[in-house]
Amino acid sequence: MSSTKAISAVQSVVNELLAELHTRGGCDQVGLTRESFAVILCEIGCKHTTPSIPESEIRAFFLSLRVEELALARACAAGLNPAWEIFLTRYRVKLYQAALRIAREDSAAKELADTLYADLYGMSTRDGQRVSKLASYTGRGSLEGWLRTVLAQEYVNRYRRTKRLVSLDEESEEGMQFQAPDPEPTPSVDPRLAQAADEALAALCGEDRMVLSAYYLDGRTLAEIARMLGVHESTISRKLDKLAKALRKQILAGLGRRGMSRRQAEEALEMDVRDLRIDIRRSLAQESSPPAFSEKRVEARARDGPG
Amino acid sequence: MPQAEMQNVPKIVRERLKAAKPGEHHLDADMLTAFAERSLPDRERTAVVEHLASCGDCRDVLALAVPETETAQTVMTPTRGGRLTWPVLRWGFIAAAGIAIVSLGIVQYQRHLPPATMVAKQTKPEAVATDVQAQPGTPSSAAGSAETQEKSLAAAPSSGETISRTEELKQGKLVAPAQAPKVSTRQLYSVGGVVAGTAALARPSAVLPSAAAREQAADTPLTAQIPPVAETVEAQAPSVASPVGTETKKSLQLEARPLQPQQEFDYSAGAVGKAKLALNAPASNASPAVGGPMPQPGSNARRFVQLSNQAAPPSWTISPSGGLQRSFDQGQTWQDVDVNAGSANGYTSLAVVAKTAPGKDSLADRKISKEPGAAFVFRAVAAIGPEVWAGGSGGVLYHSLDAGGHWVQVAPSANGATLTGDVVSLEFPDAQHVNLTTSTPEIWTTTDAGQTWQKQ
Repeated sequence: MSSTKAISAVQSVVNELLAELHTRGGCDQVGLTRESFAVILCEIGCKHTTPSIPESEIRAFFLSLRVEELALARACAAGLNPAWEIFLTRYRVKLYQAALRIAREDSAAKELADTLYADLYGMSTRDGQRVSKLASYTGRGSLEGWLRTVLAQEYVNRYRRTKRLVSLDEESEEGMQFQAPDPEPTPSVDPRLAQAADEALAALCGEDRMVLSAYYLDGRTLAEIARMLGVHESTISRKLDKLAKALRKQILAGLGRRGMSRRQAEEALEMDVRDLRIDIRRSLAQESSPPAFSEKRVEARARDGPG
Repeated sequence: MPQAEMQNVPKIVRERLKAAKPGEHHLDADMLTAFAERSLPDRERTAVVEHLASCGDCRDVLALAVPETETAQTVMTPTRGGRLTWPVLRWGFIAAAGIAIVSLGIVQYQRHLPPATMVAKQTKPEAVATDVQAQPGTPSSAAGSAETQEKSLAAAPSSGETISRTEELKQGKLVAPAQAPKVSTRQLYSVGGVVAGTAALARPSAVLPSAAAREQAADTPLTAQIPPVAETVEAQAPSVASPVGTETKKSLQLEARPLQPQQEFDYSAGAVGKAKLALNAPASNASPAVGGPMPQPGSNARRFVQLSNQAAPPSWTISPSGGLQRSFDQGQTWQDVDVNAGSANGYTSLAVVAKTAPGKDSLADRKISKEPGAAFVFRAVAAIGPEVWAGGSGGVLYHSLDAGGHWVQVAPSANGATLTGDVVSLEFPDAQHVNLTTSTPEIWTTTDAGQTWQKQ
């Protein structure tokens, strides 16, 4: 019942704002009728609102949408030619530039952009109906930003698919297929250390964990992380430094609460058993005798010549 | 902070971050775009950030989707203009704050400068001599000779010399004696109990007599003739016909008294209220000789007390018996302050009469006679630095510019009415403004350091 109530609330607001939004969106220019635009708005409203949201917030939500770009995108998704003309005029070059920035290489960028164009145009069909990626655009962000995000998603998916595909020839050359299973068992970390670390990380807010993950796991630079969050680079720098100190302090405290002494806790924190990997090959090479023949000796003999 | 110098997190932290499981569904392009463009409400933004904290794929997408040019605009703080960037504004605010602090310090310093400014600093080194001689002389001659010492210190009243008070007082000027001894610019003399604003400072009222002078004028009351100085302020005083010694209550007599040797007056030019020289208290001992440690001529022993040169101004209080007390050691010990001190040593203090408007009230109407040794019951005291106002029963109001070294009695009057009620409260926000409340109740205010008063 609550969802029905939410739907009716959305419809009520859409009916109230339809005229204004239809005009603002320039729907007539792209060939989008008022009825079809109302359906689009209701769909978006139902997707992004919850039954508990009051009508005032629903109204504010609709008024915050980029209705002009929404109308254009949905008209393109519907295959309306006037919309496509406008879309290509505005976004063709930008799409290619975004692909070039993501792929960093001309041919890859062109391929990426062309692939996305096909998806946007709706080359694929489902149940006899064209499926366009533009139909998923809801107008919450700019259409240009949405296109960049879709390009990035496509690129990441391609990269991950490519990464998973390993050539057998390459494995053969590296001797991977003959690789013996790792004889060394994975050293287990003191569970208290993991618990203390989990406890310390759980106390952090999502943004802090995101910054830590982006920096230490993804290897992102401070500038990249700053761009992701829309803050200054120095803010990220200070945050990371502060977080590192706080985490260390919290983990040490957590280990202390779990029965470790201060010294033990510091040792556990500083020294990870998994880092203690014994290089057997190196050790064997140091203990063995020098090779029987050396390149230098061979050359000397060659110079001496017969007799 | 360079990236390389940043503190590293323990490896376990990285492991646990990696172990975090993302949600089932990745963020759609709409949410990521809205997040990148910061158009999400807080609630949704928090949810997106939580997902990004554990989903590397979405973080990669976001990092690729945010363009450098666009993020540069979002990263940079909003600017109002090409030059008014936040770093510029920040330093501007800091500079403005520094200037404000310095200005405030200068204002405070000037405010706490010794109010009793002496012409000594403005005078030539060859100032008035130290001897106080009761010398007979006409006011005109005294004035004439005094004019030559117009800018000299310590107009020494010659022994036996009387001031033509009627004329000079009408003019509001005190004429210096003809042969006023010279003193150094920093050797000034106090007239017991009187530091009459700049008049006193501009015209050092009394020159302490030398030993010889004292012997000669042992019975002659000292009279002070202050040379007219342009920069000095006119004083209004009731007419005094007789010389000091004969008409003790109404004569304009300035009798010096020795100062404490350790107390050195620091006179500096500056107007701290205006001269309010008027009447005096009767001199019980007209002899210029002063008891105690009489300084020798030319010595530095006779100095005005300038307590403002103390490290810190004293604290003030009123004893249960209504006496005025001050403390120089933050209340550890208290000294009784006699606003009429000096009578026992043959000096008189001058009472001051404030006028409301020139010519409105005759000087005679505003005479204040002061019985020697009369005790006052003070009920209110207020001080800013060395400047002190104290009021008590019967409309008694005293003013000191040197932390109680010298006092001037002030008799506020307005439109023919004088202050007669008990002064029960005093407000003294600055040197120019004084508000007092009486028991009647009446509110008397002055905005010119006591020159004129208004009654509410």
